[in-house]
Amino acid sequence: MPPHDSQKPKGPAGKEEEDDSFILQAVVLTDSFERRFRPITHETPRCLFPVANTPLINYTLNFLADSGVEEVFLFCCSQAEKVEAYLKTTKWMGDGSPFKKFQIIVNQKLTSMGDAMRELDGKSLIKGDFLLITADVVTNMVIGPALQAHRARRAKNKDAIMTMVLRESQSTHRTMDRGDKAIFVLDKANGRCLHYERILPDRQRPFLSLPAEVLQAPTISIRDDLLDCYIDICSQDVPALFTENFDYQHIRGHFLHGILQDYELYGKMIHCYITRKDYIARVRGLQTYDAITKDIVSGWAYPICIDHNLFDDMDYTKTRNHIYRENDVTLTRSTLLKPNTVVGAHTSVGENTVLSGSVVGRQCKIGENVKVDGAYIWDHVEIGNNCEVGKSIIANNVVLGENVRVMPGAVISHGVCIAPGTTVYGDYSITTTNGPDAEEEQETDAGVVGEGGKGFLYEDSESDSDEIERITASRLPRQKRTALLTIMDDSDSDSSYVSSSDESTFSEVSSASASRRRAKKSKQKSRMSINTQRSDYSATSNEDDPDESFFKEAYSSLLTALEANHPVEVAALELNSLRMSSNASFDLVRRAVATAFVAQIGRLTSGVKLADVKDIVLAFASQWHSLAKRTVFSRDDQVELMLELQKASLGLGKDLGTRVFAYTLQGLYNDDVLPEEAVFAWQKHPKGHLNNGQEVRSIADQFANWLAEAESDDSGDEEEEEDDEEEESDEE
Amino acid sequence: MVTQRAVPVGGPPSLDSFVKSITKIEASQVPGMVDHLISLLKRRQIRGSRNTAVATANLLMRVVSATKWSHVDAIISKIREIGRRLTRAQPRELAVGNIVRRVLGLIREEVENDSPPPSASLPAGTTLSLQSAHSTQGGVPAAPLGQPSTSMFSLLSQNPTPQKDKSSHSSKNIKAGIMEGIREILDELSTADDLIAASALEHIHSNEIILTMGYSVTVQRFLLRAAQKRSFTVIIAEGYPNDQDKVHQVLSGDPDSPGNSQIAEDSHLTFQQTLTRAGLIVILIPDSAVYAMMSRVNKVILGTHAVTANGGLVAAAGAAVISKAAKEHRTPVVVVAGAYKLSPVHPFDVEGISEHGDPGKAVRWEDADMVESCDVVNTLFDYVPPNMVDLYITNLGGHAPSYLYRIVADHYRPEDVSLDG
Repeated sequence: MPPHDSQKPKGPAGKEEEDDSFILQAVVLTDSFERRFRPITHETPRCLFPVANTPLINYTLNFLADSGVEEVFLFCCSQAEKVEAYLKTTKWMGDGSPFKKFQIIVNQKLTSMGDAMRELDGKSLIKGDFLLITADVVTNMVIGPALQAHRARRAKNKDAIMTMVLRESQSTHRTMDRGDKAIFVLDKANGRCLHYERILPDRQRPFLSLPAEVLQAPTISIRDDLLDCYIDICSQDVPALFTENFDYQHIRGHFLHGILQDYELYGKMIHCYITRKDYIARVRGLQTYDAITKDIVSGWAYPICIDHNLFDDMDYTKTRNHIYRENDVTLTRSTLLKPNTVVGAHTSVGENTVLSGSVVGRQCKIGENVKVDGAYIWDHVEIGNNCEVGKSIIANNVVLGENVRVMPGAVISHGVCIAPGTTVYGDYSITTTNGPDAEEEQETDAGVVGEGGKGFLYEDSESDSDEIERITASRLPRQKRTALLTIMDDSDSDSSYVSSSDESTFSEVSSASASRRRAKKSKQKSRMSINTQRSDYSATSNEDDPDESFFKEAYSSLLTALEANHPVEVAALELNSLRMSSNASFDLVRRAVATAFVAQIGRLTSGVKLADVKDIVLAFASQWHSLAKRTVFSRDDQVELMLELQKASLGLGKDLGTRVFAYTLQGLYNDDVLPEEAVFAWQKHPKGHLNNGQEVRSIADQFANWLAEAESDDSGDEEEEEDDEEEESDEE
Repeated sequence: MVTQRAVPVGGPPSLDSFVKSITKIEASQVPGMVDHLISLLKRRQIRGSRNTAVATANLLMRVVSATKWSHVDAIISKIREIGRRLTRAQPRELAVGNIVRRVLGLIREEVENDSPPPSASLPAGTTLSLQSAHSTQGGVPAAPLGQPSTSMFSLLSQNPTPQKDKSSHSSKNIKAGIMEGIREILDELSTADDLIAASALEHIHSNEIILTMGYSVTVQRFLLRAAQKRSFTVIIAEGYPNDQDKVHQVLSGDPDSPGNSQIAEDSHLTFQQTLTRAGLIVILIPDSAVYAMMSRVNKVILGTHAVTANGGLVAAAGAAVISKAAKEHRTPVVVVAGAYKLSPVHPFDVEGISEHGDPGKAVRWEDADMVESCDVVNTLFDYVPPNMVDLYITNLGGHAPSYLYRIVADHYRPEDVSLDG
């Protein structure tokens, strides 16, 4: 037999030494900037939610420790003091912490992931590639292979700035967040992300709009089965890009979208790392909270198992059928624990009580003859005799009197008391506080919690409580489109959109002109949409067409800007952010610009003599031409803009409209927005002659004819311009 | 000072990185390493009897060398404490507790040897240990250890340092002795498979049909050794779902397969020759076909995860079915296991002895409907009662199940069987 030692591989050891200078850093966001878990998140931040009786953040930090992360920067925003206080009690910040550096960055002003990244960039803490993650991810993966792939790509090409870690799944999988699914279009050869589009839950839209450039890749794969938990390996360029584009808020909706769309501008590439064997999931809403807890209980996240007692104070033992008990649990002889049940320490359960598929926290008291099925009961909860608890969340320190029924879907927040004999219906969210910002404490609503109870129905301040997603129902979170509208309307400052939450700015997807039917996917998608309960949305029918709603918003915001004489850059930025957030096409933007221009000119010229119109219009055009310029990129676009202007001018009546249109054209021509070729193309365009188009064409036609003559006469550009001006005055 | 990474960049931490880092740390960092090993065990990043045993022995060696003590009770209680924490972290890796108990026994022996004059059996023990050390270095198969009745315990606890004066009851001498003893345990861990394989020719004869299961380095070496002289047929049950991939890779002889590099990670072992290359007839069968094949099988050879004090096995899932089938057919079942797998613990809680592994190995997690509507349980281990086993082959030789109590008594002090309290 040959000596064994000779075969010992030197590979891994050597590689490790090469990497020695590289320190893996991680940026953790504890705040999701979402409001899905209200009202519970008024009192417990999402990252401290117990999942299988362990605060969520532990799972994320455990993943970082396993991945050899040495420095952690934890961004805290709302309820930072609670997060910090909790972390101080754990091993993550204590002696023997696996991290060499653990820095908590508290900033109450953060309102989005974009803000956090800008702050990160400002602090210049990042030394190399880093891991960006939210503190609500549960995973057993090891980042090594993804990190190596990322670094290899970056060594070859510095422009590969980010790698998104995705898990192959199924679009109907329980851990897929129903409110945030997306389609990734990837270059099959190298995993580069070419296009990203969110699937909106509230609308049947069997279309995917692919920009033409995407099709240049030899093979693309279009996938709706990727579970995106927002785990990204980023290079230093990523925070810098956030700083550069201070309207980026959301890492997918804005950043990814922007980088993909402006590839010509930035030349940056974003890749995907798709794993097929690791468990990755993120707690996004009640539906995923339920799914992930189930996954952990039934061992899918192995070795992240309850009975492995991974975290500091755990002491669980497991018995057959996924039943977990911690130490000092008091059960009676007639207590029945059915499969998939977890019972925390110091909890006592009374006679003839049945627990099934539930997680019960620590130091709870559950009475006799209680039936608990699929509930998530947190710590220090008291449940009286003969209660029936369905699939619901019951937060810390809740007291349920005797004979209380909690129907599936209910959410009972901290400290609520339900009086004996009360029924809590499935669409109830009961709380005792409207959050720290609430002006006044609300009175207990005896109709909800019964006489002697404590708590009231939670109403979301911005929309009704229905939007909180239920565990059982396939009902989906309602998109908060209205929020954006109100913000845009009463905005005086140009930075107002910053204050909108990422959900609200992320609501629209336009059907761009280049949309292509996805024969294969459409079937699947329409099936998914059938699950959607559409009744919720009947109230918002006027917003059914996303294009229409974008147009309205853009139009109104532009008009505000024009009226108030905002600087052109501000108006352009506002428009651009609106476009990105809605994923609107430039066609729509042009339409909005043209309509707003004409409307504003109409206002300026009302009651003015026809002779003065020209001066007003030309002055207006010279002030605002650059805004128009930002919407046109090709000859077609320019023609399109003119057609839109023509259409809009119709609304001003024949006399005024004709003049306004012609002079706007002339003004834009003077300012190089529209070259003469475009004007000629417009002249010939058949669309311009339809629908009373003729009415407003006359002067513009003359203008075009004159241009044509000047063209044939002239040879040099500069002379031509001088000529123009002379001609204009002649014309007058 | 270059601080040593406990976890390689990108992870995951492994036995390799643990052993590497433990040799470089300062004395003050030792408690941190205990916590680190505990978390590695909890996260199942170090798993398997040999790996956990090697990690534990390395850790204890560092603990002993870093600790200053005035009275020997201090170090004993310290090691008991560490042992308690380690075994609680992963109660199913019995090898961890075995190594802790062995080290405790070493210390006790060392103290006793230090006070009374050295016993008569000293020279014999020294030669034996030299012999085994030699075989490690050269990779030459050592002669099977002659007298199985020689106490392994006294063999390991020999202090090779020459001065054995009664007066030198200093902790320094004891410490050196303990360190040496632990080093020998580590040697034993790396040579155990060779010593077991040395007796292969006594048990496998020409033209026999041998049935084995899954993926065990010990079994493979045992068969390989026999294959050098004899030609026979091996039937391998694939060990679905946990061992299946490894078995396939090893049998297809893929040198880069994770299965083979896994072996390479073990201290001195490299599984270079696959069974197929050794010229055997190898038949791979699904686990369900075991009973059908059993009537033709001459002998069943099983590897095991651990052996309990009563002679029962904690072996990879599927072992119970095979031994039951063998019992029906009166086919002898031979278990090959290093002595470090032999535990003084009795299997009172048979159900708790097994771990539930990753259900994703049986059902893909992507399968939304299955995940939603089924509970999938992937049991990692079976308990095989002692009456199903006919012979144990350890690095000390072959023993009948009824004789195991004697080896247990030789290896472990009764006061250390329970680490609690």
